[in-house]
Amino acid sequence: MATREAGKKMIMLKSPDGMEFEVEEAVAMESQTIRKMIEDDCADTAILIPNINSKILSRVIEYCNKHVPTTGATGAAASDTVAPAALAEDLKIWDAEFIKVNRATRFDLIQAASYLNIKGLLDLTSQTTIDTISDNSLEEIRSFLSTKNDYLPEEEQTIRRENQWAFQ
Amino acid sequence: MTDGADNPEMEKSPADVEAPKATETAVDAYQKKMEALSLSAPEDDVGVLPLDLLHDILMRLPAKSVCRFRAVCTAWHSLLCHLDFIAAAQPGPRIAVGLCHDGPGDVVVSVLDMDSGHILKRVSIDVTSRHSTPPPHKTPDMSPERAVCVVGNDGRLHLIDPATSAVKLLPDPPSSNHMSTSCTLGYAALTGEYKVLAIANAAKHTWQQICKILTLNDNGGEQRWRETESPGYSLLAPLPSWTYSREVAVVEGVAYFLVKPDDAPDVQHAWIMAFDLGNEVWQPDALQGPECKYNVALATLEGKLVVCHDNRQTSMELWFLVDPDQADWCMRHKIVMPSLKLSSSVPTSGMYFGKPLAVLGDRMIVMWMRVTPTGCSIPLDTVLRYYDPRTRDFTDGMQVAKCSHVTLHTWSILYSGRGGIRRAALESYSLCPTI
Repeated sequence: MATREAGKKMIMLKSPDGMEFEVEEAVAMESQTIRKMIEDDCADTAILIPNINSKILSRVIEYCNKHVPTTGATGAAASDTVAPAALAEDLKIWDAEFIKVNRATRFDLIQAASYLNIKGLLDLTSQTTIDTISDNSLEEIRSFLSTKNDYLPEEEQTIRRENQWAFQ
Repeated sequence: MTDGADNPEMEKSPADVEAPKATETAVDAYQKKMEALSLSAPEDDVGVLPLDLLHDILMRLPAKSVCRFRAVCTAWHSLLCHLDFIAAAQPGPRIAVGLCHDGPGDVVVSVLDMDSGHILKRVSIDVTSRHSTPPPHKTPDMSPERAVCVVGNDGRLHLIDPATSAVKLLPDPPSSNHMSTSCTLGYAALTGEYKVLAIANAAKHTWQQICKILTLNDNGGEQRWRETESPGYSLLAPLPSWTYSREVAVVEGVAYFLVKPDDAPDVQHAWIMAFDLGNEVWQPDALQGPECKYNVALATLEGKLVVCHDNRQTSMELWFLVDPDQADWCMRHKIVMPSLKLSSSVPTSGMYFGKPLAVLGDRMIVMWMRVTPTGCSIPLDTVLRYYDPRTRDFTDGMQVAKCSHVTLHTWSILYSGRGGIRRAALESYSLCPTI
């Protein structure tokens, strides 16, 4: 950690709407996509992040900022000996707060996490989506998807019979 | 593909969702499906998720939700039944399959969640009325990987696929003057085939046993029994025998059977014969097991053959075969089951060890037990029991009625056995094993 603190290198991230964010290289490298760019020497002074607006990009940076020391110091959950449980717990609480956003933002974050290849953020956003829909009724899912039940009654009966255990 | 220009994500190959037949309507159907699949809502809080990301997210759904959401609409059904989806989705609960005989001809299959012992689903499968082969289009998929071999009440051998409820009658094994045929299904890694070994006792001479073997093939070609040599010792077979349960275990392509030690040098020990499913030969000599005075069963744990010595229903010793060449056994667990610690109200006198099924990630040992249902005097039911070697505590799963045999499986509970309404699209895919 000491060496990282000492030799802090900064990276400029630019969103398509013209905003610039100066972040530590270590923070930016939470994104595997950016890490690859840096390692391949494709990043000089500024990196343009296409498709991710400043609002979402700032949230992504916020996430990476929060997560960089933990992952850097302990290598995630792999070594529980170094990571104090309290720190992990704190991070969990922070994540839970962080993801309290509306659905549109959450979906944008999923796309950003996928493009930037930030596993932790992708897991968090995906799991939150799963948690919100997994107990939904079929009607709720249909309205969520704005789709209609296009089964014939006997078809639906067959499907329900085949997957009976899931309806108990 | 008008949407394609706006959203390049949508141009993902249709094969990701389904492989529609090359007809002029395929593109229309696909576009309709895209609309139905995309996760967007009419309100202000719209969010749009490209199809590939939606796909990734759905793969994280719990197995139960996946199965339930198949009823949302036909597009979701195609996606959530797709073999590629199932192969990539969360593994879902690990499962054990319990076989229950319920009335003449019916086999009730209970699929249990290995980690909790809860019953996930129960399917009743009729194994008698299907002697005439049903038309091919009505035959659900049958995979040898998922199959369980069952001897019907008529003595004929059936394969059942608990995932799809498919039943397949195997050709009649040895001649009809043999009784109590038993069958063992195993995978021979050497040849990459699943094989069934049938062993029949001669009606008159109980010593005489006839062994036949049959290779199961995926493509449904003709299957024939091939005669193999008989083991040097007579195998222990339960009577009436519809399946081996406790006396056989298959470990890495070798089927191990307990044998009667009538002329064995030492009756204090368990004796085991091994049949190599790949080369289809019996090992010439019986393998000496650990010292066992009482009830013995064979099991497979952590890739090793295990002799379970049930010490008069109070404790069970688990002996692991460390070195087959030296007949070197190591007792890794001695499981004591004091009657007071039982979580069920079942009297101990009516409890029998089935056998251990697996060692879970947290070192818990799962075993199946035969227990006596209330108001009954024989142990008809089965329960999965979890033993913690550290605390020596037990917890029980759900009691499965009339269940007499439990096996461990690795197929996914997500298998429904068909591609659903658009089944045709799936037929070009081969069944691939999933965990």
